Amino acid sequence: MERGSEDIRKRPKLRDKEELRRRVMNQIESESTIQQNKRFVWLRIAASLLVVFSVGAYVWMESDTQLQRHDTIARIENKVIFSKPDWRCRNNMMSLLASFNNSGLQFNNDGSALMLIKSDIELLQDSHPDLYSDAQGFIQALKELYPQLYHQYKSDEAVRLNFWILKDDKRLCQYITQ
Amino acid sequence: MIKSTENLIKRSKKGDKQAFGELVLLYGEYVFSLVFRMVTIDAVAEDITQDVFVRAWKNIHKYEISKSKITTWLFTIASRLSLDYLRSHKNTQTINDDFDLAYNDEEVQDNKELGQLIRKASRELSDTQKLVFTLRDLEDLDVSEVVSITGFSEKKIKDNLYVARKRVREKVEFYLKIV
Repeated sequence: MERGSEDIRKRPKLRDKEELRRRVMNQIESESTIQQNKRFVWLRIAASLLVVFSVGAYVWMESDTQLQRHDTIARIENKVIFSKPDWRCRNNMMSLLASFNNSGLQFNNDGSALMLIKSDIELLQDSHPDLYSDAQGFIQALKELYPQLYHQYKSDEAVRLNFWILKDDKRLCQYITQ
Repeated sequence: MIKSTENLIKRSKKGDKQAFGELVLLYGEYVFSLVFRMVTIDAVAEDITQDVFVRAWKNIHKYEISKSKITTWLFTIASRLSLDYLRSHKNTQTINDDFDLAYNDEEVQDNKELGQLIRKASRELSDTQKLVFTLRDLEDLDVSEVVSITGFSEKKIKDNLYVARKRVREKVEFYLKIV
């Protein structure tokens, strides 16, 4: 083994050092380009998500502000922003109003509003006991949803309830018919 | 030389590709030598050598001049990649004897033949034995350097080296008897 040790330890020759350098540099270059491209792709995705979230947040804030503004105005002007009930609820309400009409409760002159008067309701207790309980539901709904109108009613004043409010206010419609 | 190598390493750490290219020219042959002795196929050895330097470039920020020599660090990468190759191509190994083209001197014909026999014998060693034998006996590195390159314990290195030398000696004697 000693005899050939010098020869054995001779390094195998690389064919072309310059070629190796060129290949290494090319690979480093191409890998860094690929990495850069990947970084750009991720940056674009991040930027797109940021834009989408920003626009989404802006739209949500705008619509929420609008809703709150409507609610506030409605509270100030004693109106309600209606979320319309489904057709079944509206039908029930209309037939209830028709029953009230037949039972002798007062409607205004053009027939577009129900005039809710405490003494009329009390009369129903004897004449139409079934409608009386529905009317009590009305009163309860007024108490919950329109406290001002309820106070009006309690103090023996006539409360005017427009039909369009009765059939288009989802909360009221559901409260009364269910 | 050491100063300039240090300078090249420092510049490479800062991302200077030109400086790293110089390191490739300086150490390409060292790395190729180890890789070739492990895989014994010229083209494969060149590819692995290329990968060694690409990996070295990616990790050069982790290399600390004060902790180890650049050759030790490069040999560490080279030995890992060579072992990976050997493990993944266990059943498809081919042997290339063109390696001897670099030895043209007729005066060293005898030595050359013995050298060839030893190389041939070393091909039949296990991966670990081959690595230890190549680093210690062919690359002529200290045991401490072999430890830091391979991560093996000194005992493991000595055991593998003992078995490798024994097997190589037996093979060489066997070939010589046939001739």
